Amino acid sequence: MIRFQEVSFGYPGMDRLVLEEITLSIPTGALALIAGPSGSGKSTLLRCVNGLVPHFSGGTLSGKIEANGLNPAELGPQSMSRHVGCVFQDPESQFVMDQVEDEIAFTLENAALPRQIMVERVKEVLDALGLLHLRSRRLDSLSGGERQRVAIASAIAFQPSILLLDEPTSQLDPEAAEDLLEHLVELKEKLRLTIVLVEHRMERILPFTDLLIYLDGKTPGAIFGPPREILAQIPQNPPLIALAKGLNWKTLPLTIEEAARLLKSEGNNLSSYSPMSQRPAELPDQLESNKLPAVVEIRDLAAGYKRENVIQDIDLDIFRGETLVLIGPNGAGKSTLLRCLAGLTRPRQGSIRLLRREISELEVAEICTQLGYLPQDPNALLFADSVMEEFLISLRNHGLSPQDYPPGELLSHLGIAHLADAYPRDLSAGERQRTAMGAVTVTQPAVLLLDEPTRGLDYEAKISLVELIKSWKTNQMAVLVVTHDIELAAMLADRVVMMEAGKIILDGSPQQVFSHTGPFAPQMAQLFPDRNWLTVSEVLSGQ
Amino acid sequence: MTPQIHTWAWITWLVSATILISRTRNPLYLTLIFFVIYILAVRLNRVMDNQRPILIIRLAVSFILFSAILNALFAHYGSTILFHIPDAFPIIGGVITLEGFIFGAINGLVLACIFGAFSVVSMALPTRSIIRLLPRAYYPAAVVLSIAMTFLPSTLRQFNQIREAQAVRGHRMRGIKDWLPLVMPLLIGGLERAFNLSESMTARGFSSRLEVRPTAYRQVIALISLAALLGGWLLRLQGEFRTAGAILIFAGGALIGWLIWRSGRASPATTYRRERWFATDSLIVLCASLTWVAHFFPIFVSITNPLSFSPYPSLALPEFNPWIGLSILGLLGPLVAMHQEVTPSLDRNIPANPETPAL
Repeated sequence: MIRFQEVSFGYPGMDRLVLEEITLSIPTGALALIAGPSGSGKSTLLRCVNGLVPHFSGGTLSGKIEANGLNPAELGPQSMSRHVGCVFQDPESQFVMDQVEDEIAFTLENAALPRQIMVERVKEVLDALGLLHLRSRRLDSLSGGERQRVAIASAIAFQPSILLLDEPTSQLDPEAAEDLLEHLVELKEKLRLTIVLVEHRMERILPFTDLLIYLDGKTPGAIFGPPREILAQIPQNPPLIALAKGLNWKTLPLTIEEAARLLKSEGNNLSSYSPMSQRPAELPDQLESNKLPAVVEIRDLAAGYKRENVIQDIDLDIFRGETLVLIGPNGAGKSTLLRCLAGLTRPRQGSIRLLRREISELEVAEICTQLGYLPQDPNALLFADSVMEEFLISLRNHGLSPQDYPPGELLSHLGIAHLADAYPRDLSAGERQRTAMGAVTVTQPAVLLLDEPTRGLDYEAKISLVELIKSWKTNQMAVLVVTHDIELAAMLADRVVMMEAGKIILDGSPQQVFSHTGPFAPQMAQLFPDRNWLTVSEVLSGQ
Repeated sequence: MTPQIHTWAWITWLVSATILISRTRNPLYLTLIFFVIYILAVRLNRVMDNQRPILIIRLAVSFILFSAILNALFAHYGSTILFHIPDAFPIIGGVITLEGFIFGAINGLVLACIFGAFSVVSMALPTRSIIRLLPRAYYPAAVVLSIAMTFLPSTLRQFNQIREAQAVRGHRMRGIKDWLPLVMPLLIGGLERAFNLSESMTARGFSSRLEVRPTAYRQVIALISLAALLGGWLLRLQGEFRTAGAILIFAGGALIGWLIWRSGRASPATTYRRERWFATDSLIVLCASLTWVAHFFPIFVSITNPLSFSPYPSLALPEFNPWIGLSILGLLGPLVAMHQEVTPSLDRNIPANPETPAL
């Protein structure tokens, strides 16, 4: 049992409290999901359970916390490590050793456990997480999902009774995320583990959740309880919940199967609500007939690292004013394709033409005057003292004048005009991403490439990102988005391309592609497989 | 896959290679040692299915060229004059000789060999083995050392990411000022990574065991041993009591060794992996030791200073004794443990069935 009684906490040097009068309890053996907008204190709440807050973070804590009868605020994280396992957002940043087994044994060696027990424990957790075949592999040779499982194995090797996870699926494709969650549920049942996790993509976790904790970041306290009860009260709604609320269903479904049953059993048939229309599955006319010119033409492209090709046989056109979304499992070659387009990886074969010019003849800086590229980590771009200065530096780098390319207008368009003088690294994740986006689009490029743009963003920031990208469409900018966030793809895409093992395996309208992609399909497409609906608004308006 | 070689076998190999490299200036032997190291590096890369390129040759060429040019420019000595730099140029002004070039190149080759030998060992030994080399009383220090070792490659990776991210903003390197967009995110990112790792290690109970404070008598013994070392060194410097000095140094060293061993015993520590010593390890140690022990054998004693070579005052061809050449090939010993594939799922250090461990 985890208990918080009137817990308040503020980081050192901050005026406001991050957690205010939090009272909640999580029963033993439950899987609890902490949800809420960015900055609402989700990760702080998580770190209170093992004493990292306030022992590691500093700051002032009041109230009482109890984790399985222990007081983490008194004992501190090192003593709590025997009872609470912890996995942070980026598993790579927490690995100490270089091999799977050694990494798992690290915690046990810290506690000087007898070797025989260590050997048994390591074997147990490897087995429980399906990692036995990877036991002697180097960590840097593992996929994202495998690394996440190794991090979890390391955290539970000490047989803690509580496991804390901070955004465990944020870097995983839908299939790997589902696989990971299934392993977690198995662990929970087998070891009677209490799991507390923070996640922005609630739709992934809700089917497995026993308890939902919601922090709104504005009002003191937290609301918590069974997921359906809490979801009915909160504004952040994953697609199935938004649909159920839109149709005034009495019960909120957490899984596609539940929603399908509710559609039939509770008389919530959509035919009584909206015309049973079917959205056309073809590509929009202008793209089909190539009325708009292709700004990027890729022919017979192959590229890779060392001896192996990561991508090959790639033929793809990207049209002016089109939003193209690239999906596929981890390691399919999506990011390599983006790197080729930006000139960061030189192709081994084939050609890429940007605005009818072969890019192999151009330098990266020259390519990127006409092509903006936002990498996964926007922090790599930001170094100036203010947001405005970031924009001006990009213009100076490209030898362009602020009079011809006014940064002020872009600031307003990005919705960060009020932050023009702010220090970029002090901003929230969403604001920082917009600043980085401005830094690469201030040259008004014809094409914008975005690599996993919703990583770490809450629902609100995600929706405003969708609106921003849609607004660029009206300027005839071509946007290519690489994402694991299928709901984002459904909201944005004019066309979807799916890659697997370095090749394009599907290319068509979102409706065409998502009807063949299994777990890579949005919830609405899974619920209405024959209607071509992808988003809740499409279903509700019966488009 | 890591080849089946014991850490101490590798360390013996490294010590032997280093002794040999530091004892000889004969370019023929040094070249032979370098190629032995290169062969091991290539084989290791293949056995470990390493995707990283081997940089030893490229670095060796840089070392040799740099050292040769530098020595030729600064040491104006030798009989084969290549050209003359006007004396008006300070320091570098004077004759540039072939002997100067060759002497510098040999020094570069020595550096390349040492670098290569350390690279091979760091390639072959995983982090855990390096941690275990330190006495167990210093486990936290060993972990911090290993992290520092892995921090460099990850910082280089991060630097490349930042360089690319700035390049897409049109950034070009023209002067010192252009380093700012690369250095700032690197520094901040490095601090963030260090913070994350430290938070993660704290949450995993790193260094949570109670530290044993040294007792007063151990502190006194530590002081005595340091005094013995210092006294011995001074006696040897003085010249008259060199034997007594050596005895004092030995006694001081032994006391320090004993203190470290005692501290280790007082710190509870267990290791997950227990390495086993195989016949191949003995063979590696034997072959590696022979490479330098052999030079004390009668067959080599008859040769006057067989390992030395100097291009000064005038260049002559270095001698080559085939027996010494053959003994250098003893450094290829680790190849015997690299010819076979390791069982894919299990390391030699863990029993095949983990439920019945070989304790």
